[in-house]
Amino acid sequence: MAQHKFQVHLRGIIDLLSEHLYSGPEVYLRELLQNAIDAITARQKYEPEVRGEVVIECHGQGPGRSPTLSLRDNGIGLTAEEVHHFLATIGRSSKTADHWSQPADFLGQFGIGILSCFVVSEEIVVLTRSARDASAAPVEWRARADGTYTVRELERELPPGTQVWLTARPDRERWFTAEEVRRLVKHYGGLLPVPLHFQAGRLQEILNGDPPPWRQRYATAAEQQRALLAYGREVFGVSFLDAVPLSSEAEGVDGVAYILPFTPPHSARHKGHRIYLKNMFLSETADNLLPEWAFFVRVILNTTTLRPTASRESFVENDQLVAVRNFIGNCLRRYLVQLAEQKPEKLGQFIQLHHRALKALAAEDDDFCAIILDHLPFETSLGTMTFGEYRQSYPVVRYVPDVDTFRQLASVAAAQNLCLLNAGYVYDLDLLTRVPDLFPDLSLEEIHSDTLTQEFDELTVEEQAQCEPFLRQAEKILRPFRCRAEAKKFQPEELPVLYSISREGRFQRQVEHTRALSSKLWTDVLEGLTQRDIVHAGTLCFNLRNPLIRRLLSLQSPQRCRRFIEVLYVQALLLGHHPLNAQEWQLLNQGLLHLLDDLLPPD
Amino acid sequence: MARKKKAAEYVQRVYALCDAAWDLDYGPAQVALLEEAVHIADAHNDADLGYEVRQYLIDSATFGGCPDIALVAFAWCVSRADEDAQRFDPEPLYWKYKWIATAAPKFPTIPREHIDQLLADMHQRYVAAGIGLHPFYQTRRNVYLYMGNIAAAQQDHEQVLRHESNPMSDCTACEQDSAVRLHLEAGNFVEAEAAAQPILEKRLRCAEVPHRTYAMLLLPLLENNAPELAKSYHRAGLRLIKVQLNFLQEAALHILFLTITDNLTSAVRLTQRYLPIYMASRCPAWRFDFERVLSFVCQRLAQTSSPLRLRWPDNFPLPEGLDPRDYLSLAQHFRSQAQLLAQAFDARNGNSYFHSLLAQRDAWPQRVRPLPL
Repeated sequence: MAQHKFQVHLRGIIDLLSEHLYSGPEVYLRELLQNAIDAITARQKYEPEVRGEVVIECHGQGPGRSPTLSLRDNGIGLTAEEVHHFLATIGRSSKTADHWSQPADFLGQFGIGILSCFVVSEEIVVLTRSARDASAAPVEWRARADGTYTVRELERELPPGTQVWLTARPDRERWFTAEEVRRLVKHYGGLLPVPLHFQAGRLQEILNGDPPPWRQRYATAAEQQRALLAYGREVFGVSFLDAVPLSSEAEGVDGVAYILPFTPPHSARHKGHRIYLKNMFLSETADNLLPEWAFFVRVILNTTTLRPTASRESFVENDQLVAVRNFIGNCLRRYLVQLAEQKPEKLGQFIQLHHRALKALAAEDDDFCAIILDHLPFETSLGTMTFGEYRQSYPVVRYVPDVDTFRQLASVAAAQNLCLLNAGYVYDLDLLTRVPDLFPDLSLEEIHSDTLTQEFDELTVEEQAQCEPFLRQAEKILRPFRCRAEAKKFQPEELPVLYSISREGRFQRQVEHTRALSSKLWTDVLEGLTQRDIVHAGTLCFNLRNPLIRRLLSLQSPQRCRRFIEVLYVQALLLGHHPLNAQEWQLLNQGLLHLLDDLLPPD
Repeated sequence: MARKKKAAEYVQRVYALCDAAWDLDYGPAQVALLEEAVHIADAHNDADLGYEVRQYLIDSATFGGCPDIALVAFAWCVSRADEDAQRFDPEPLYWKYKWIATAAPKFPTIPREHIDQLLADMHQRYVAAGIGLHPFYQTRRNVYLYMGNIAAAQQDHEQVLRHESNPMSDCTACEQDSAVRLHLEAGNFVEAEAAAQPILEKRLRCAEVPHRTYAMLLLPLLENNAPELAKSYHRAGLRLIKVQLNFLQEAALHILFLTITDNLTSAVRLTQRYLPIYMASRCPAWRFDFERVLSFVCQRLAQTSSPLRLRWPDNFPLPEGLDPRDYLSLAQHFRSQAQLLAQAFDARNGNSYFHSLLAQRDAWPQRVRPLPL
């Protein structure tokens, strides 16, 4: 039986790569830089005294000319045999070969880097001479995107190393302009320790001249801070609030965390960083590199030890990653504690922008919670205040555990000058549960819609007696609406009644409301969520400070009293944005008609 | 003119609430803001706005751990769309139907026949809308899994494999996760592990995967002599679930992992953080999972005479007269709470699945093996 080999359609493979593996055509420069740096690393293993350098040149700039790019390194180079073996075999990386000894030292892994050049160029020309084999002649490799290539030995002399020449495809010229190439090389290679010489026309410069500020020494901390902030401004175009250095030899990381001067939108958390792997730019996303709560920073971070996942957007979750993450977390925590102790003004600024992140951290870390809780803002019925402000004025921490109830109660509580904390937002409840440990003198009290009226003034015995028959009648009228009646004295005086209902009760109203307009199937299904016990009923609280209610108590006609109670009930529902059910709508209509009827003179 | 201005004002308030909601993580606070937005729209009889906001509410409640709220909002929307499909676009409901159908079995008060009718309704609507049945079988399989009907789930899984996926199908990550769950429930660890591979090699992820996958593999990995892997999944998984209502079940599995590996300090710490979440949870199925583990934690506290303490939050529903430090009684209390739910679930499901989960719980104390983290 004849054996056949797969035919590979290179064009198709390249299209696949460019669509799925590479983020965009610009990655060709990353791949070229990566190969150059790896080649230099490999050569330095044999010749440690060689000082590596990379030269990038842009040619053919200007209208009517085909832009060309060359990238030259003085790395290990390749022999003719190696060219066949490595450059022209897809999926085999030279970096796994024996003489490259430790693959972990190299940036490239997949053996397809050079192919990415076909995304921008129809032809790749490589001129190379091996540094290991002095007798080997220089070699020229010409490869075309249709999958053919030629290899020939060159007559002329060439220094050891590799040059790659590319000519822009007409539709890819924008990736070859001097400006773009300069930007991309800086973007990918800005931290590389090997000098990157850039030439375009008369322009010559080293794109990674000075090491970044966190790798330099400064006379004072203030000077270092200024340099870090200036660097951050240049890289991100943002004037950051602060810069926190993040370097640790033990963890194999160096870099800086910048404090954002604005609150990042939810969708942009953990994005927009500059993450480097062995000094080569890796990704802007660092899914799992930072602690979850650290969404108030943009980091520039180089790591030598972490392993990226294939997507390059996160790192493999191993002990090393946990150590690095903890290290970053500790640096940021230390910075925050320092702010709290030494720079209260700046802390105030920080909290205004990033209090959510601080709450997340405090919820995770008891010690930090103890330091920061007083500074954290909470929503209360008397406006936003810090926990410190709150506890100075109030010996009891009265909190409402969910947003829904808080919003129902806030205005009424405010009228009684009662300060309720909204603990419904994420982490707030979590933090308040630490209060008894942190402040043994403070007591915690949870407020529900039905406990709020307990804070109102009780009636005198006399008033109670006066109300009793009225309340009995009100209970009877309101029972079909699953509502209880009570009487108290509260502010504001103008409010005749207050309707309150627990969160669950409100949900039950929604269930009923929905069932009323649903088909049998859904009525049946929702039946399973219905709870009819009185615990989930509402309460209508009559305000005895209100003149109307006081007059109502002495009303003689039970008929008219009934109508008043019904209308007050419906009005209270409407004020609280409780959607009315059919029965309640009917009450409203009838009530109005009766009132109108009363206004007209009798026939 | 005046009326128009007034209308615009409440609409603005509704949108302001929606904006505020989107600034929050999934969770009860977000759900509460959207519920309020719905109430305002309803109070103004604005059905179009009510329909629009409920679409957000269904998403938020589903991923924020309030399946009952999602169910009610969905029922409202379906009724409206049935009334007038021109005015209330039914399109977004097809996707959401999958969440709703899998939410229903989590409430033992919804009878089995109603769940069956709901599935039949979903089937019929998908057929009528020309949607291939791959997502339907995915959904029904998951419903059967929740109800402990493993044989029926396996049959539907066969159907899933036989049908072609379509844009309404669950994402590959979720599908793979469901396959892992099915294999684990059927006792096939090797197949579960194989199904988990694509997820765990980090190629597949979504809002809930690999969060759920990590958690459900913890104990099976310990049982199959892969403690190091279990440790790393514990670490990675815990980080993903944070402290969220929607992951109460997963949190319970992490607490279980910590307790059964004799890391009681960490277990107590994690339990402590989740107690308010447990109190806020409206989902009986997850409450069952948590109570099962909570009773185990209390039992271990009693057995080891540990100086560790659980601090019960204000208003935590402890029975009257029960000493909050008498961990043996507390263990019994939470176990009997779980048993009540197990009875309700098993009666509804017509099997003994939940009791078998309780029996597993009773075997945990004998299986505690120290594993330093």
